[in-house]
Amino acid sequence: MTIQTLTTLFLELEQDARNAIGQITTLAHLEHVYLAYFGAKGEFTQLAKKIAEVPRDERKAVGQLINNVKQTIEHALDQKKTELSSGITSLWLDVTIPGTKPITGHLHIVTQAIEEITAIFARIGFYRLRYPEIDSDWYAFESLNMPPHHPARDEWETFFIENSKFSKIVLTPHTSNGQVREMERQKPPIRMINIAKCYRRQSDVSHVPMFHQFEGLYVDKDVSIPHLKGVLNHFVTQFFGKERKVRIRPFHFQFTEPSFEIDITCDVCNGSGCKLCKEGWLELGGAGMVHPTVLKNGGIDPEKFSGFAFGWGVERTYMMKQGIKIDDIRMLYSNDIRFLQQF
Amino acid sequence: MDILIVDSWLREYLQTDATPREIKDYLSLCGPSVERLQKVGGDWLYHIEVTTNRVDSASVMGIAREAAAILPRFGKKAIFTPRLPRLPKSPKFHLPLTIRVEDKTLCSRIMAVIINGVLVEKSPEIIRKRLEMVGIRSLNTIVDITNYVMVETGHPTHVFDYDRIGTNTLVIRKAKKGEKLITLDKKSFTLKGGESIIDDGTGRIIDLPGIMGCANSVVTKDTKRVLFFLETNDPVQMRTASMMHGIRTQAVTLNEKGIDPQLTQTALAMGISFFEKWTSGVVASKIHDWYPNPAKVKKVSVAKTKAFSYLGTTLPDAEIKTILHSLGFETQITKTVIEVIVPNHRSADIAIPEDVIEELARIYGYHRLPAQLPTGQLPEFQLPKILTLEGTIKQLLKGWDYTETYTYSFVCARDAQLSSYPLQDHVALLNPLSADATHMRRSLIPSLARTMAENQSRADHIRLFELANVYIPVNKKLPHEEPSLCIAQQDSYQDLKGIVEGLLVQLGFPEVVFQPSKHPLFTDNQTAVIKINNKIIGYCGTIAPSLHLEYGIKRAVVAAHISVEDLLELPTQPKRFTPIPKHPNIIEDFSLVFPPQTLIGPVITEIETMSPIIKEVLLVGVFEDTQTFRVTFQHPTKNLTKDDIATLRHKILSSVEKKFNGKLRE
Repeated sequence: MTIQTLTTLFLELEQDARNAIGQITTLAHLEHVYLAYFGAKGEFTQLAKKIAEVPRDERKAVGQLINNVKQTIEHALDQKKTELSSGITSLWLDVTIPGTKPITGHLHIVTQAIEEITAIFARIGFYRLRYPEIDSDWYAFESLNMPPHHPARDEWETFFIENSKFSKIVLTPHTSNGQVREMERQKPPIRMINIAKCYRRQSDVSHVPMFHQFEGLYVDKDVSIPHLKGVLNHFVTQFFGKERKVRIRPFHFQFTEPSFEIDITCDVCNGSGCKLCKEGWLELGGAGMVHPTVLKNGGIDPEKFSGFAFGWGVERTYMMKQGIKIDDIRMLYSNDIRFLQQF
Repeated sequence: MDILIVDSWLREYLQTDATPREIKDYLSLCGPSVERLQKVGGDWLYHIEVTTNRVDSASVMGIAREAAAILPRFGKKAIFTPRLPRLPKSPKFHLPLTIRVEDKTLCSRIMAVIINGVLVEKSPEIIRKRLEMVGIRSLNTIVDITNYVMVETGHPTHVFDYDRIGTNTLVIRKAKKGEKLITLDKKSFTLKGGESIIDDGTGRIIDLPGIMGCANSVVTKDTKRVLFFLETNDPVQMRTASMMHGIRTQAVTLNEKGIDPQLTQTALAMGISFFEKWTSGVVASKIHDWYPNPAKVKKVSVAKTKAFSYLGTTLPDAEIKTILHSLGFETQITKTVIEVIVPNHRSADIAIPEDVIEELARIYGYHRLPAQLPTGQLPEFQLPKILTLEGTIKQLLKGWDYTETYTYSFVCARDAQLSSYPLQDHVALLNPLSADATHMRRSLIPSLARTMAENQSRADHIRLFELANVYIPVNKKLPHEEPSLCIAQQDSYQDLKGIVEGLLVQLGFPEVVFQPSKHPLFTDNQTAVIKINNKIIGYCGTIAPSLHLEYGIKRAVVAAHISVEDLLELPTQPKRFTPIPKHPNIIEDFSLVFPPQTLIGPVITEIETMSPIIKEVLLVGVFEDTQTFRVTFQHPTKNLTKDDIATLRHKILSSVEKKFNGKLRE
């Protein structure tokens, strides 16, 4: 018998054995199959004897082959044996059955927005702080270049605190009270994000009397308008997506000079103009180069340092994100569980 | 402030090939923001937001001036073509008039002229149409002229009926407290004292200048002679008086922002020309001009290095000149410095170098500046511990099936009282928006109880938490803001306590003690004080029956209120490595019977602390009066023998019997 013939016979035997093993359903059946191959009169045992018919010098190669085949079949039998004894195969599994869901709670979308905003600014070295919600008129207005009776104060519908003995105290109508406070705490370079609750006397579909703002403050040498644009671009593309564009327009705030209004392209029309936006743009918020008087009030020499600041509503910014359409901002503070558990 | 500008009117001051749409877009990018462009009849109306510092551009003339500077930057032709009527020469015949200023802080300039022979008629159609487009009701020629001049120049103007003044005298002074006047819209006001007023020399008030005229001196249909009167008022005085009495007219909106006194003359001359043209009136007095301190030439310098640093780029001198000249500035530019002479109409808003930088940057175009991330050194910084701690708490509670709420920091007086602190120990709002929100809260529990009640019909299984400040008044200082945590749910107390314990373990406080206690926000005999290192950090238990009643809560609510700030001040126990025991442990159950109402917490503590070999004591079952404890014994270095266990078993049983009167179940 030639080596080729014997090899073919062994490979055929291996294939037959695999088929037979595949059809085994009980341990007794498995034992039967084992004997059919490896018993004294088993097929494998019989065929192995034919090695004697192969020329002597080729026997070594055949021996190798026979060993491989034996191991393969034995391994398949072992695997089948484990399967049968564990009982796995006897069960039918409905893979479409509803999964048992893990218990999970829900963080308020304001918390989620704050976490996201914090992370985006942390990537460019802006650290998060939280300055007081109830503050003196000095930090909330006067140190920001807004003397008493200044008409600019009209823009903030401010809550005042009953207090006859101490100087005026307000519920901060913006997070800008953190600007001079941060300058007092930290000498430049300053890269701060102050996120806190703010309060204004207004309540309608787009205003709530309590809301959150995030205030960016950057003070260093040679801070430029292009730096502000760079930081705005970073935030807008990270938060809203790469396709959104940002622009700045002239505006006026007492505590920045120059001051800007920031627009981003509308997500509905992608900047081509639609009913929901102004010719393709949506107002995001205000910003500006820190006014030298504010730097002085914070103990920083405006001849050596300059800076920029911006402060926007967390809720408003989050609601401008693609896909989140809430037509009444007061819903965020209704604490209706059917709303809260959607996020 | 929002203003309306009529396109055809604007084009009387501006020669341009720009379309209304282009004017809208380009102005918005470099100057006042045009919010909307509206087609009205055959004309266009611009809705423009003018910032408070730029009252000079709150007029047809002002917008035209801005447009003439901005449009050429976008390749459009634009020339500013102001109407500049001359003041008439004094007539031969003079009607008498005396103006006396008693308090010179009230205004900086007054100009007045008497016009004789005016006809009170309907104004020409174009005047009526334009005024109505900008939201001003057309009344008659006289009143329309004052408004037309105001919209065109941005300078408020006033007319008296000269004959109704009677005394030919105007006295400008501060009001005395209690003086009364009736405004032209027939409302009466009692003055607080200090307001700027005009009387006729007899003490009779005839005007609240800059804000509103008085009924006793305004023109009527029979008016023949008018006193055309313009003054530049002190802006702070204007604002205070107007806010105090709640009178908000277009005039005061302009006046409180500071009108350029040089503009007074232009407005006066323009008004006279209209009286002559539309009412056949003639000038019947000299031009009165009280102007004790004429405006001085104002110069501002900015270093080029500073300007270029702000811009992030350099500009050639020629471009700097073009930009500044287009805005009416004169310039003197050296190698290092840009010096400007500020035009009159900008003297109030241009004061510091940064103001000049803004003019350069905006006309050059913010949209043309590049965007670059700052490259400077990073500040040293450590995240405030409170923020990290709050973040961890939120994540843990979310994972444990809680829903986070954000309720308002201010509550109604009733909720404030329910917080167990008297109303006067709250931070109170001086000007609350509504009676629902008058006091800054001292506890989160009433807010969460209310939220629970509101949601009880919406879900069966509500578990809420909130992390927010409570506000504690501090004498002569800012209130203290204390970060606090409240957890509320309608599950068992045991579940809540487990969550609090689990939370505190995660935060690094494995040794927490719960002791029976009393607290006005909780139900008696169902309240525990929570302590760490003997310091009270909060309370937990069933909230008070009064709260259930108040909010109509149907199923008992258990809650925990913890001061997160107090946690910050406590030392946390760092995680330590204990070698994994080499010897097997031995576990034994003890079923013990105690007298009713025996506290089990101290029993467990007692057993746990009895020997270092007792590793763990768990309550594994409660059946009638029997409590089953599972005790794990473990020795670090040897196998425990039967005798070792027997000794400890005996010790446990005798101690439990002695201290708690607990006995092994028979």
